[in-house]
Amino acid sequence: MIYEAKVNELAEEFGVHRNTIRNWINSGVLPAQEGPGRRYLIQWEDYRRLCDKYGREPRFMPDPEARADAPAAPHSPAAPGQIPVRLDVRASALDASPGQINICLTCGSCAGACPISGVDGFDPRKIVRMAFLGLEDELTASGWQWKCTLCGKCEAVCPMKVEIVQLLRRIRARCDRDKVPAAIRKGVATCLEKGNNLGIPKDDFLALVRELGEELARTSCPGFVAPIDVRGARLLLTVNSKQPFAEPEAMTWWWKILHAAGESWTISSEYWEGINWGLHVGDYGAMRTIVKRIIDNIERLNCTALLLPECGHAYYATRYALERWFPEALQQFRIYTVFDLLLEYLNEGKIRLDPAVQTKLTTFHDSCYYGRHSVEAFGHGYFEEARALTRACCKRYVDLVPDREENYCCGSGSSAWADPYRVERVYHGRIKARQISASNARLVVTACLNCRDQIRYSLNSEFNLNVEVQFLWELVANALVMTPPAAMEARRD
Amino acid sequence: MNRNPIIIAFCCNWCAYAAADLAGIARLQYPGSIRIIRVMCSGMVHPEMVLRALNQGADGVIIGGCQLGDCHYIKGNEMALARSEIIADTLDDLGFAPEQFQLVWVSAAEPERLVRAFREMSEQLRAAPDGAEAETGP
Amino acid sequence: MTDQGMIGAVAVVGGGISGMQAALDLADSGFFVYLVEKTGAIGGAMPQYNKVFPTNDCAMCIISPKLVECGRHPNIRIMTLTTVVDINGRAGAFTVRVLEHPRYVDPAKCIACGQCSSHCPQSVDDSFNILMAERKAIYIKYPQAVPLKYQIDPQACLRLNQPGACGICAEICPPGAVDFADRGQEHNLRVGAVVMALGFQPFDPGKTRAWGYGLYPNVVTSLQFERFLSPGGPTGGALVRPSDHRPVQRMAFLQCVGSRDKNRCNNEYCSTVCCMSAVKEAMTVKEASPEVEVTIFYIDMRTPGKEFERYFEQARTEYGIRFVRSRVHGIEPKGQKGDLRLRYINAFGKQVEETVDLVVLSVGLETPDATVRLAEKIGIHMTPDRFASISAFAPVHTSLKGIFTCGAFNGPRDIPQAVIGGSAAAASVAALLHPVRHTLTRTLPPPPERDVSGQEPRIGVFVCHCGTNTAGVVDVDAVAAYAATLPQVAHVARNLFTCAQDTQDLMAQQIRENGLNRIVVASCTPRTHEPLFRKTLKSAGINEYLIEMANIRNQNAWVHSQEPAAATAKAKDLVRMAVAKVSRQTARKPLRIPIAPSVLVIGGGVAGMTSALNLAEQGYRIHLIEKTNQLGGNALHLYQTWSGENVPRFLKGLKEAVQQHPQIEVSYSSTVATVGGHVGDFTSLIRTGPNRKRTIDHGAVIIATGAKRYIPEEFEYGKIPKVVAAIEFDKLHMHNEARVANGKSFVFIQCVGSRNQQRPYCSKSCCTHSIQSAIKLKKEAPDRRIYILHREISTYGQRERIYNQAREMGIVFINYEQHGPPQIRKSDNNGGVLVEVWDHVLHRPLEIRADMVILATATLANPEAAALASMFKLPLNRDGFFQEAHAKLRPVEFHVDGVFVAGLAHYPKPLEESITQALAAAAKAGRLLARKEIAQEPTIALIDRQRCDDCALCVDVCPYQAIRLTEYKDQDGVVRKAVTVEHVACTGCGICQGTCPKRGIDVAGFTTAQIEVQIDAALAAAPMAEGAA
Repeated sequence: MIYEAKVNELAEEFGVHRNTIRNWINSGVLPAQEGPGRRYLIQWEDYRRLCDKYGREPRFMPDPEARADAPAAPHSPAAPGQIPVRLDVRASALDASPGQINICLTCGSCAGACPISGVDGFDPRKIVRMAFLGLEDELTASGWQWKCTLCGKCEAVCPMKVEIVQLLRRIRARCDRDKVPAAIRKGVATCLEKGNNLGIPKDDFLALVRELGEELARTSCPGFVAPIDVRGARLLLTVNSKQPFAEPEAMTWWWKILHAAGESWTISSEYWEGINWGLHVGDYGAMRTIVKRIIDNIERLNCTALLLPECGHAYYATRYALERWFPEALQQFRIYTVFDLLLEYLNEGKIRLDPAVQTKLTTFHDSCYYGRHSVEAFGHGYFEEARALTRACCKRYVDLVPDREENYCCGSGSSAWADPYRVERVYHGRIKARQISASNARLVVTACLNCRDQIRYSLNSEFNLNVEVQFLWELVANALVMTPPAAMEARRD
Repeated sequence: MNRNPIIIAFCCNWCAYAAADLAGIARLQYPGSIRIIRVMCSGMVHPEMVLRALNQGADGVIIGGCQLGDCHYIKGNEMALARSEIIADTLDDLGFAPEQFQLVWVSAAEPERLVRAFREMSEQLRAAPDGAEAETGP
Repeated sequence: MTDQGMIGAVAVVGGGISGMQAALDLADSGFFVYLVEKTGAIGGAMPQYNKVFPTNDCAMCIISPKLVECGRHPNIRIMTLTTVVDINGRAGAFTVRVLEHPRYVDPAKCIACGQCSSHCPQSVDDSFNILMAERKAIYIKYPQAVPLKYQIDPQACLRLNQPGACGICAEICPPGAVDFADRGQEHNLRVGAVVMALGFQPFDPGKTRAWGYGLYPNVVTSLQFERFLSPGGPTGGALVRPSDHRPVQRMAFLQCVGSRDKNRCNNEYCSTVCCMSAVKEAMTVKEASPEVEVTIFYIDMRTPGKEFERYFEQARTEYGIRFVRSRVHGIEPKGQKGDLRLRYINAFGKQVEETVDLVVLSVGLETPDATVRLAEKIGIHMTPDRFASISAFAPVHTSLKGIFTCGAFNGPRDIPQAVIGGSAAAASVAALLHPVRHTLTRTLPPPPERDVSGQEPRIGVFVCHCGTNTAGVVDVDAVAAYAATLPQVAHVARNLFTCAQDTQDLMAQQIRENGLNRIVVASCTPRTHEPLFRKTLKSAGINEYLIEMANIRNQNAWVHSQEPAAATAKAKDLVRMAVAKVSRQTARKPLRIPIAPSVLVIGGGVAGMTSALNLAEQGYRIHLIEKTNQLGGNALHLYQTWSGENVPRFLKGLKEAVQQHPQIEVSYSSTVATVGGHVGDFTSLIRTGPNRKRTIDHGAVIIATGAKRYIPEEFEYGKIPKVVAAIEFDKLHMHNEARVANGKSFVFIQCVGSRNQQRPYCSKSCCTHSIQSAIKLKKEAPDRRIYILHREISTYGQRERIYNQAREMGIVFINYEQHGPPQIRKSDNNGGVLVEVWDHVLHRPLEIRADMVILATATLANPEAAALASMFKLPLNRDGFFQEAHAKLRPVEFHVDGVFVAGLAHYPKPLEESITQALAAAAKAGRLLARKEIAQEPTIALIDRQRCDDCALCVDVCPYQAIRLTEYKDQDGVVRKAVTVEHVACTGCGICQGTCPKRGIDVAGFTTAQIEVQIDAALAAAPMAEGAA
């Protein structure tokens, strides 16, 4: 049977943009022929496969004979030929704290909340159930753990507080290493071996930093010198290797702010990597090693504060590791979030911001790690701080709905961006894209590199969002009023 | 008959009248031309009352009592049943149609049954040939 | 303790339905009651509800008579705006320190004219309508409030916040009732016992943003939605969206908001009432607007109460309400127009997004913080779920002797359970304080009765709107106008709710002022409301029987709701008939009958023994008859209550107490053979053993005949020895029989014989029971694998805790549906059993190798109930259980006076509910016996000497042998025979009247002449009559 459909009908049906449907057709994900009246002709089977992939009920069914293999009614006794799962519940290898998974009510809250429930059979409730019923091998082999962004929406809505994110992390950790997506597996290996995820040689890095510093001194910050290995500096700054590699000037927004604030800060020449994919691949040994290097740098350079500016997860992983394995280190120095530091500057008058610079309707996207995960792990989410800072830099602000604890993930968190899960990542992002277009914002501000890239590159093109995406510190750097210190002093009097 | 037949329904306090109340609670609908008269027991209804109703212009009379064997007063409904034969004979002699007088036994928890009896009687009377209607005069 | 120093008064704290019931039962049992209510009027939560499940009665209509009764009772002192500060003393003699907050309106002066409110310039959110409407700073809580006295909200009042400001109300008030200088007062109430009926508050879903409550206007709570549906609510009963007042087309109910949740709130318990409440609200919507699409999202539909399962089925199959087993995680707006988006996982595991106009959050019940603080101060123990801690064996006793408790303060519960609890608390108080019964009560003689005999009828007609129940269909204005044209009608009035207390007072006033001597109330049914109006007639000084009701609601507006014109015409006819009948009404006097101070209790199970013991403690004589040769009933098979209390030990104590009590006489191997007489004076023939018989005289009867268990035919029961019924398993388990002791894998199957087509009811206690057994098995050997295959898990209330505990321990719960029951077969090897079941989450079949399969079998009605029912003329419901007089407000009574029901004979229930109900039945019997004599309805046959020719046809037909031929000597000394009626024996059936050829005998109130004029009046507008005219 042939299904005749318009692109916009399919887009509506699957909750994605017309572009995404066209991409599916062009890439062969959805085999289709052009038909009359701007319609596409799709084989019923192909349509069914697509529905299965995205966990959707087919909108209509062909005649009964053709649907012999259609799913049986729920709760029917086994269909002929279906082999029952033999149950032998024992202590699950995935159940770290007894009772944690067992207590699931099977109410379905998690599965309803999850933006990718149903995709390739992914379903957080099912995952919890499989773990509980001792099907962990099947679970580990499923690949679901890599499609999940660990955004924690499921856990936040669970009435029984089942730690679903922890469970997914354990499944990731249990996975054979050769089943871990190559990009992050290699990133961790490279980081352990060469000091950063991309293996950028020390000389190249130092040359780049020097060059960027000189450029900054020329353009906006007279007298600026990029501080490498400055002993006794207050603040140690880490770097996301993706930036020197792909977008070096992005580093300078922070530099500009730190310069304007008169901060005493430094970057380490070695082990400057801040991001920590040990968290994502479930390799706690690697995670610990990478964090230990940062501690060593702080001790070596005698700093008293740490800022991991690049990514939500970098802050989370580092702080989590510090609290778990190096609690004494936290007595030695303070770990800042980007929000804490920027607000400190703003409140203490170290920087001044001009909201008139940014006239676009602006919104802020909460990253999962600074938001929900921070609430869960550290008891505080950076919701209001983010909004105070954003509002200080723009004239018109609007919130996404829902946001804060209820926010939706960009669709690419926790390394879900890693190949081969592009299709799932874009599909996951449909909700974010919908939220953004519903807000009418023209500028999306975020504090996480992952979120920023997903919205800026993938969602913008897939969903025709046509929005600008900026880092929070980019927004702040652009709004900085660069007053000479003397003039500022005078004004304060 | 092109209007809803007018029916006088004598309903015993314990079952039929209670069922009629319950029909309201359950929002069961029946024709608006039925008039219920509450009596303590179906056995209280004197044959003369049935005749009087028909003579005064009712199209039908129904007596509603408890299920046989469940009379609140032991055997009142059985009395009503026994009397009904005499009533039917008399009505026949006077030229009334048999469907113009009926009995219905319902429990207090069976509003559907009562409403069905109301509706069916109403339909039967409505379907009756106009001749039968013409005969219902004094 | 000695009787000395005991005080015959009781403080009931909390004026909700439970507290009101306790107060009424106590006041009628001979105790003076202080009914302490913290708001400005009694009624609690119930007046806010539109309808009640599963009867769909209008809540206001059924609570109104109780409100009025409390308001009028000479031995109840209602103290509103009053809170308890502290309680000191001991059982028998407490001092309750209360603070009466200022009302700023003198209730003695206020005439509730409402002028103050209409002139008050200050509007605030109305808490009665839950922020959906406004009220003034001077206001009444709700239009039918008791007491109907205005009060000033000190937060909102301009004058109270700024001296010298405003004060308009004080200037305008005709009787000068406003008093800005009113100050709070403390009182010390001296009482012998306290009943804590402190009630609940609805969960506030605004605590988390996820539900969108407070963010999106079209998200409302279930309680707000009640106000929406209510004719007296902010939209006048119209179902429109709050955002734009557009009619609702698609709506959803989300269950378990603020219940069964330890993440977004700390309410782990189930709130018990929300499932049924949502079904009711959905049905109400569908009745008014069948085109509205209604979906209820739920985890388990918990319908364990009587007739609940049928109601749920009816909602699903007849009303087309969609039920989706999926908890919706939150609500998001869609677009700018107020639409709401829901995303959920369906039964196939697919995610679905839907858009609705309106979301109703079925919010849970919780104990307010202030209540918890008060309990702590007084020293009442509380549960971890913040409810009063009670024992299943003493379900209305707090941890403090002499302080009792009922209602939602004991845990979330529905109205019948609250009413039963109120009565049970009253019974427990009565047992404690019976030596000082009648020491502090007073009786008010009714006002002298005007003799209206010989007067021309002056008829008053009162037409009731019943909110929109009647007025929504019938043109009540036209009916009232028509009534005024009828002969002998001297006065016509219309009322929104005729049964409200203020209307009753107004009616009495109008009767007096207009010299009315006959009354017609055109409203609902005389079966429920005539007693109320009779009291009003009495208070107005005319005979209480000079009333007739025209049933224009139940038998008109509701059954002709699609034909307003026909309904209005019929309403006029009904009024005309009532006017005709009442004009021939005569004054009657009730017959006073002494009450035998003893009670026959049928059934020696826990319910029967509890009733017997309580009544014996109240000082009455009890005949307890038990069919078998031992006491204990079904509880003999129980080992523990849901909270883990030891049943055999309790049972032993109870049996001993019953056997040793001097006031209780137990007859074993005994049944009731025949019953005669009536309330206050029954005579029963008791058969003991094969050939011993004797008669017992008693004033009341309590039926506690228990229930039977279902013997399954399904699941290979009886074919595979390892498949056993729960009751058998318990025995094996207790004796640690080898199959249990060595068993490693156990499968429980729920709903065996329950909730199917044949028996569409939930047996209520089996889920809890299986979970308890499972926990015990798991505790004995943690490596045991235990599976519970269930349809809904009905661990309602705080029982949810053991469900959570069971899951935490690793017990596996698998949901099956009726169309796909588990399959059972023998295992090929090692003699085990293989159970195959479809998993509701994995969507795959599972196979379990079980060492034992335990069937949770249904509880069936006792087949012997039918015989008893026919002896006492009691109805049974479709499942064979006794049908109480009213499912909500008369849960242990029948329409037959003096007969009460308790325990499993009424419906399957767990032990503590049986005990509570048994106490409630005892309260009702005690309340009756405390009156010492009762007034029997004078609806009896009277002989018309003018017409009677003593033919004696009536003598033969009278089923009660109440009519006799009596010999007398006439003037000439000739012995003659005359027909006479023995009034006490006459039941007023009127079979004589239907038989008499001479119209010589009539039942008062239903005379032949009255029936005739009703017929004539009914047909006055008929075409034939017109033709004849």
